[in-house]
Amino acid sequence: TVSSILVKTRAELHASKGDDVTLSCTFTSSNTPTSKMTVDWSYRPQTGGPPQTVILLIFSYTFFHFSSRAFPPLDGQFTSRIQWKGSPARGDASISLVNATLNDNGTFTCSVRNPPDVHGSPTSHTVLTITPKGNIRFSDVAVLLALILLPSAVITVFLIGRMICPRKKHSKSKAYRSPIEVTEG
Amino acid sequence: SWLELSTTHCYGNADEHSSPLFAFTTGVRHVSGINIYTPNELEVVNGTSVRLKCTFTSTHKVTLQTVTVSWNFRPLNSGSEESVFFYQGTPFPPNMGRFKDRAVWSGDILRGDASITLNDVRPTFNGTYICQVRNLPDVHGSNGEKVSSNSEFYLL
Repeated sequence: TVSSILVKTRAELHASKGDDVTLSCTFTSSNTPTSKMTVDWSYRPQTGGPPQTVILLIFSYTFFHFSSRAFPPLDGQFTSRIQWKGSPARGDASISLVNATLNDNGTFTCSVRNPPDVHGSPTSHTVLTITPKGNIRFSDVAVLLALILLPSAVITVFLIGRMICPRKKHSKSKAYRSPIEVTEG
Repeated sequence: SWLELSTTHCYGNADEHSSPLFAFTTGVRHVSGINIYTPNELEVVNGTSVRLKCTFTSTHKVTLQTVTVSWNFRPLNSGSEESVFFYQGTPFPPNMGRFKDRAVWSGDILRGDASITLNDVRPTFNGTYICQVRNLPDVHGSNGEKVSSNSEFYLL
């Protein structure tokens, strides 16, 4: 078989400002992961511009266990906000972006190489959209109250009121007058 | 645009930035990062060979164990990227796709050269070639930006 690697990410992700966002990335490699494996996340802003490195990870394998060494950025918008959540043995190269901001809108690219599995589909990307924390839900509730519950309550009170205090005048005028007159005789 | 990015400026002195830690303790300005250079455009005759030149400088020592080179290709009018060549300790030429058996290593890592050569060039090779170089621990480029450089490739 031809040695290759296939990397997958979600095409799109949506989250709110302040959320911790998991950028998931999985890979399938012809060969089992080795310590030559590298995971490389980069970012391009929605507004355009050159790609920036988000984090790079290299691995060492001792006593049947992978340990990683991360190279996060020393400055820039992702400093101290990226956490490694992956596991080479499980084919997982995911990371977590802590405390998302509106500046994080853009395309995140996950690249995994496990020599000799370096060709095929070694990269995949996710378009991240961050929206402000919603007041949306609150106003949905307000609309529900205004248009449905309130009129329902008013109508219910009105009907109960009529049941408790029926007006005589009202009932008389509503009496049905039959066209057939009953005469005694 | 891609053409603006792939100019051969020297990034060095103009892009110094001070690392907060050093500024606090000693006031020393600290330049770190990798700079990558490729030609803007290449024109090649169908069926001939072309050397895709990519050179790099790094503030950290360049060794065969610390450098990885990744060449990717983006066809004209397409957003998708295809892997052209990879180097990590040893060359990994493409074993599938349009560049199979057509891309060879022609670089010299210790001299800061990450070039490859495409042989028997086809019309399907028209597009953008992206050279990305990492030299651990230099992975972030100057000022944390621009970790790759690209060339536009036109077939005659």
